[in-house]
Amino acid sequence: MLGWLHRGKGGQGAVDPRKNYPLYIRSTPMESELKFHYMVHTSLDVVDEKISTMGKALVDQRELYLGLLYPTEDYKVYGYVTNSKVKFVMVVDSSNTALRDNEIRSMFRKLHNSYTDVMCNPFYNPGDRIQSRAFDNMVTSMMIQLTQESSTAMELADKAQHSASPGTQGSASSFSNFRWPKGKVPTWLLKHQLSLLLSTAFKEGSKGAKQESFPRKL
Amino acid sequence: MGISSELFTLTYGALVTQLCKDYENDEDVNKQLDKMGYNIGVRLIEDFLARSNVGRCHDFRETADVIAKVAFKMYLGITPSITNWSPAGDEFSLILENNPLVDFVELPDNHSSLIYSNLLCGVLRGALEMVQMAVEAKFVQDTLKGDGVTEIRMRFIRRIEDNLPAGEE
Repeated sequence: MLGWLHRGKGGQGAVDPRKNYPLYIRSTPMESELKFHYMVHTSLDVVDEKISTMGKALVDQRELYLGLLYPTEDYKVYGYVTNSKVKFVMVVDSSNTALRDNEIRSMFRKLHNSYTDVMCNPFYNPGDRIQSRAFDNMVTSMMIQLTQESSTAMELADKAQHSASPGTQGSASSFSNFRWPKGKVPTWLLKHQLSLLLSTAFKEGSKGAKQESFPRKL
Repeated sequence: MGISSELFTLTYGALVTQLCKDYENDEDVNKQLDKMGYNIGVRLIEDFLARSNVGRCHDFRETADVIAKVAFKMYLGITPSITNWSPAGDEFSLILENNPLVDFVELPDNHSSLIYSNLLCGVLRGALEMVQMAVEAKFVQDTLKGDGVTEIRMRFIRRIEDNLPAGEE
């Protein structure tokens, strides 16, 4: 499921150079699209906030990785920003405990590298939505890998829970009412929502990209 | 150490996309790329002959070897393989497993008949003309279009006997 939306306040087609525009959004079809879009909006605000407060410290360290932006009950949101003001936001299900900080960092690095490849395509105009097959494939493989890792973790957790107290429900997981048969978690089904958002803030005066102004469901 | 390959790739890409904007249809862009390649080829051959010190080729097979093993290596850093010789020995294919011109390039759907690397065909044509060979070079497979490899088909047309200086195209 791919969707994208326009953050600007200025009505249809208006391009506000100080706002963020999504270049690429990818998510697994588990949650309502609206809720996800809301979360992504909020994360961008947090990213902007982090950049302005950390400001000098970021520049000194040459640190691109912003770390955990904010935890919610169900999700963890991570951020990464390049020197060219391109922001990457990753949303991962909280129940995916197998994910370590350095894994997130390396995922962002991969994303950054693939984004660089997209920019090097002479047919790609900066600001366009990213439609590169190579980029899609990289994201897909990342999401699959994530699912496989977390599925293993989930299976272990499942087994532990089942053997301890079969009747107990109630975890922080958002699908606590649903149990896969033990050991039969299908890896093709992306259980854990990994959502990626790439957005860029245009500098004042740069040519605006052609953008639509409503969430478009595909 | 020469210039970076990324700069080269980006420069070529900028050239092609600018031509696409200027000409609006793929066929015209292909022709322009061939023309530009020809103009490069007629000059490049002098540099090549001076640097590589190869002698005169006795037949088209020798020419193929020199093109693949010396020229491509010298200018693009790759060594295509030579296959599919015609029975008469006047046609062969150059198989390029990777093509530095197309690093990072993804052809959009509205340019399906664009021969992105057509400059190469012009270069080959122009260079060989300066050593008295009229040839035809064309792409028959292209990784940009989903093929597994990139294949250039080279066809010997005739020997150029008259010594009139080659004009610019």
